[in-house]
Amino acid sequence: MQDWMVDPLAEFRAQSETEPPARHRPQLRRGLWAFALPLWLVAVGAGFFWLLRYSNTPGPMGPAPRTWPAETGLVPESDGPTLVLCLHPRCPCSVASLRELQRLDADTGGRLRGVALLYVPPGEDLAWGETELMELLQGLPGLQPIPDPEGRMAARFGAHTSGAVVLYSEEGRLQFQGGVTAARAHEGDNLGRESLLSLYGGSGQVVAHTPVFGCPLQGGSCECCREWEASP
Amino acid sequence: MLQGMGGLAVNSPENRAKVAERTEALLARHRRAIHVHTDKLFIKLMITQWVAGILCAVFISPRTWEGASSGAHPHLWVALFLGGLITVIPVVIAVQQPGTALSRHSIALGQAFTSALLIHLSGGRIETHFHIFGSMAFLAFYRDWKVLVTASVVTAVDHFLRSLYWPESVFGVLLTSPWRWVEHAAWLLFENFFLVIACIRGQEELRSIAKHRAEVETTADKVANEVLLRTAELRASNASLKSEVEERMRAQEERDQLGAQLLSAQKLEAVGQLAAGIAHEINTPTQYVGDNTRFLQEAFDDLMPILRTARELCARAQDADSPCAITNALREQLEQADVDYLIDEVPHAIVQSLDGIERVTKIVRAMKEFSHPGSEDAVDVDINHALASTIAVATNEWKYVAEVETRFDGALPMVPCLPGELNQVFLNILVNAAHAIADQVADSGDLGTITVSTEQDEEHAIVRISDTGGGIPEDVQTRIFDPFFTTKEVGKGTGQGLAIARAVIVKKHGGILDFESTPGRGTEFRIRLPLRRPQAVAA
Repeated sequence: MQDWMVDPLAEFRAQSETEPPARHRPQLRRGLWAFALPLWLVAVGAGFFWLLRYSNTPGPMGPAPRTWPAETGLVPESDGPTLVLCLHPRCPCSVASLRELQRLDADTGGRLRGVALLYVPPGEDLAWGETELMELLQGLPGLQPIPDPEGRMAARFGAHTSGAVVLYSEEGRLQFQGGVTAARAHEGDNLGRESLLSLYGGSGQVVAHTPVFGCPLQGGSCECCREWEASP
Repeated sequence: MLQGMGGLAVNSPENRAKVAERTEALLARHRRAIHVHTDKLFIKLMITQWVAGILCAVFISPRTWEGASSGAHPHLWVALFLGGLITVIPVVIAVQQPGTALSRHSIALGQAFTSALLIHLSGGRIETHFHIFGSMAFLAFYRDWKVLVTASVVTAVDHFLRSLYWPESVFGVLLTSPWRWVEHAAWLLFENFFLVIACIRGQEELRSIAKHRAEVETTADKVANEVLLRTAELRASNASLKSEVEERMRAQEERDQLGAQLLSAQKLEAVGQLAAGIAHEINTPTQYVGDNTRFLQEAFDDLMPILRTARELCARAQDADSPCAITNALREQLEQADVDYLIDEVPHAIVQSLDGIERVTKIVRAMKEFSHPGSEDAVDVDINHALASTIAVATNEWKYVAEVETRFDGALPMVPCLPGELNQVFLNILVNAAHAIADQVADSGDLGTITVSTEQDEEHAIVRISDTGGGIPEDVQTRIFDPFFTTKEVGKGTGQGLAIARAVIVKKHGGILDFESTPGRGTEFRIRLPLRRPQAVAA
């Protein structure tokens, strides 16, 4: 085309050419990503593995007395099973436990009776535990909230993890000890709730011991828990 | 319309190949644009998901407790680090290599991992599975069904593994069928069935659009080339035309110069033709003025002795000498000198000579006026006087064949015109009239009549020059003003006289020159000259 010639479609051509040209991928960068992408997949897999492990790792649980521990000063229910719930008021994982118990209470027609031992740090009172968890606890009117300084009473029931549930029969015999969630902070079907429901229904075929998922109540190690958990 | 354009055969094999090639290029470009755009959307979405996850962890489970002491909840670290790991890598790839397969497949992986994490943290809430379906629909924005496969495979594998090891984390129930993951995968397949169809149709539409645009571009290219070709031809044609116009303008200038030269030559021709007659007109009075002068010389020679004798007689009469002898001598001398004859003829000779001188003077003056040098500017001219001069100059042309009658309007005002060229017109018509009459009367000795009259109307001075010649034949009346047209014999006329006359009257004076001729009876030419100075004259 001569210089003096005017291209009447210059605008049309320009419009076509304004789109960005395909960016060329450097071979080095492509090789880098070919190497990095599997690493990423492995890392993500490891992350999920860690998360699963964390979610499925139960808290410490010690053996509960086979009969009602009278030294606690607590009085068991006289007209039905007594349920002892041990809670750390600030444990977010225990929300799932409370909701499962609410379902259980509903399933049993409001038959849950007992106490809710609320961990209180030294020098604090129940006001320390005024959290969302306490609001949920109000949905379980059969459980009487009782402050448990440093979790000492809970320890007498073998409970070292928030969300631990211990059930004694009307006669004061231990019937169930464990958690009511399948994993940490996971609501849904779980063996603990199913067992309790069976017990409230009068069935004897239950799993008497389930893992508890929640925050440690007392802090520190619990040698007796390990020994008890290791026992068959 | 484009199909019908000459020379624009868009269906030729060459064009089809060009269209196909351009279609592929445009399709690749459009696909890339869509991929880049969708990458950008996912970059925003994934970052938003990540931030939302962190915020949820902060508000729902910010801390974990161990007795009275607390620390950051592991879920916060999960949101921050695992969420970040899932998000950052695809985002970085999408930023660094937007529009690439690596980018969109890593995003598909990241989005599937995000769904898995969300479902896990929600405890397998069935509502959170909608995140998968939403992600699939969003991934379909790529219009690349392979991306859906990548995300679907990851999701299906995740469901399968979880159903094996921890079904509650994905299905929300503790015990479920080992094939439930297949049901979830089937629902995913169900959604993908439609999304894949949408992707394929989207690709087909893209191809159709690209092909249409390629065809338009190809046709436009050909049109542009055709336009450029035609433009070049037009430019060449314009250059040729310009050259031709310049050539014609030069020719016109040459013609104008030749016309001016011709006018001048015509004037010289007329002067040349009139020269013999004018010479004759001047010669005749000059001849008899000379004869008379010689006669007066001889007469004076004859009178000299008489005068001397008469003087002597007067002297002797005072001395009273014999007067008779002197008287006799005087008488003899008077008789010899034929004084009576001289007394009769000398005054006549003097008058005749003066008349001759007057005629010569008149002719010379008329010649001078007729030969008025050409002027570019119009001047006020006495038309009557100009006509009289022309008639005088042309006397020898008409006087042997015709009589000239003049009926001049004495009130005719001065008329703005070019006197030299106007005199030429008058002369041409007058000479034509004389020639016409000469042809008519031949050698019969009869005289025709040339009538020259002037008059005026509101806007024009009108000059009529009529003759009693043979008139103009009807078949040539329309051609008499044509250049080089003449009915005269070779050598007697150039055929330019009336053509020049009309050009002078019409073009240079803005007037009208027409005629009325009756074959056998004569012709009358009418010249109408504007009384006010017209533009043509001013120019």
